[in-house]
Amino acid sequence: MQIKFLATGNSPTCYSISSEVITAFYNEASESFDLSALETNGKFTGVGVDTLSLNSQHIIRDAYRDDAGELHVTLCQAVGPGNWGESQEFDSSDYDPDVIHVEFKGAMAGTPWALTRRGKVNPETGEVI
Amino acid sequence: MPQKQLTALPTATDAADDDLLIKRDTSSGTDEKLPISVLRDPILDRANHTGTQPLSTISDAGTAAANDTTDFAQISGGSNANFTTMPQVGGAPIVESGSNSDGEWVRYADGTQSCRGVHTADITDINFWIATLPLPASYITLAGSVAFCCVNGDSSYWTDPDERRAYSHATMNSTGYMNLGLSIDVGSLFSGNAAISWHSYGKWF
Repeated sequence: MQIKFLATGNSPTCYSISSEVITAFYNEASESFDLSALETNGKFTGVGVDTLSLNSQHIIRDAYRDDAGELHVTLCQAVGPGNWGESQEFDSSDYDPDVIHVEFKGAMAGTPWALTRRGKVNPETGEVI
Repeated sequence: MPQKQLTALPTATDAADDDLLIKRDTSSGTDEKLPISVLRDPILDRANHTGTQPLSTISDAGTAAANDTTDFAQISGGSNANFTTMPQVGGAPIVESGSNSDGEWVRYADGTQSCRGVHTADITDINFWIATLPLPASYITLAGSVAFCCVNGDSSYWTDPDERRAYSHATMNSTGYMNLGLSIDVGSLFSGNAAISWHSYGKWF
């Protein structure tokens, strides 16, 4: 599976990925989303969220399956102050819940942070704020 | 006047405006009369913050200005008003701002928040378009406002209402989302994408 991250105003704390099932963790709760049913040329219309107090667009924003059968998923990583952009696409086996995957483009007013399993991490210092 | 004669004079406890003092130039030995107001009035100005005074005597702000530090705002602005860290009110920054995949936002220490962004919508051959879009930063309440407009596309949609007529509506959906809708009820349909420029305003705490 190929994944990329959007920098958003809210998101799960982190994810775990197993085969084509993505589990999102948020506020000591978790919920799994099985994307295996998505077919090539199929249209992703969102996931149903039952447990997490998050809107589906703040968890899995988009997904599609390419002609080779590989799944491509767009996830969310919450960010605070600063100028942020989406990540490059990368293999899900390289996903690390403790690091910032979205791109930090520069500071604006306030202390920048991105949400990881460690907490809100300052991209300039690597420290939890 | 000899010292022993001065000490022999009675002690005064007040003074009138027309009282005079004796001023002796010790180097030349000459005496002059000195109106008491010459000594008294500057002292009163310093005490009452009246008249013309050095800035440093007016307030602590003046002391900061005299120190020429960057930690204090100055009316002159420019580099002198360049704060090295974000000032805080009650422990919270006066302003925070960000830009992410869903738009831009600004938060103020008084709880005010505004967001803006542009969404590309495919409105090819449709009479009605609606979308639920995530905001770049969440609000604390739905009691906010959202507005949007199309900033490109077929200009006749917006400039020739007799030929084509469009209605738009926008609401807060949840504190992190908004609903945008567009209905077109007259004229031929549009083909292509429209850039939807939106703006929201509300409270973040």
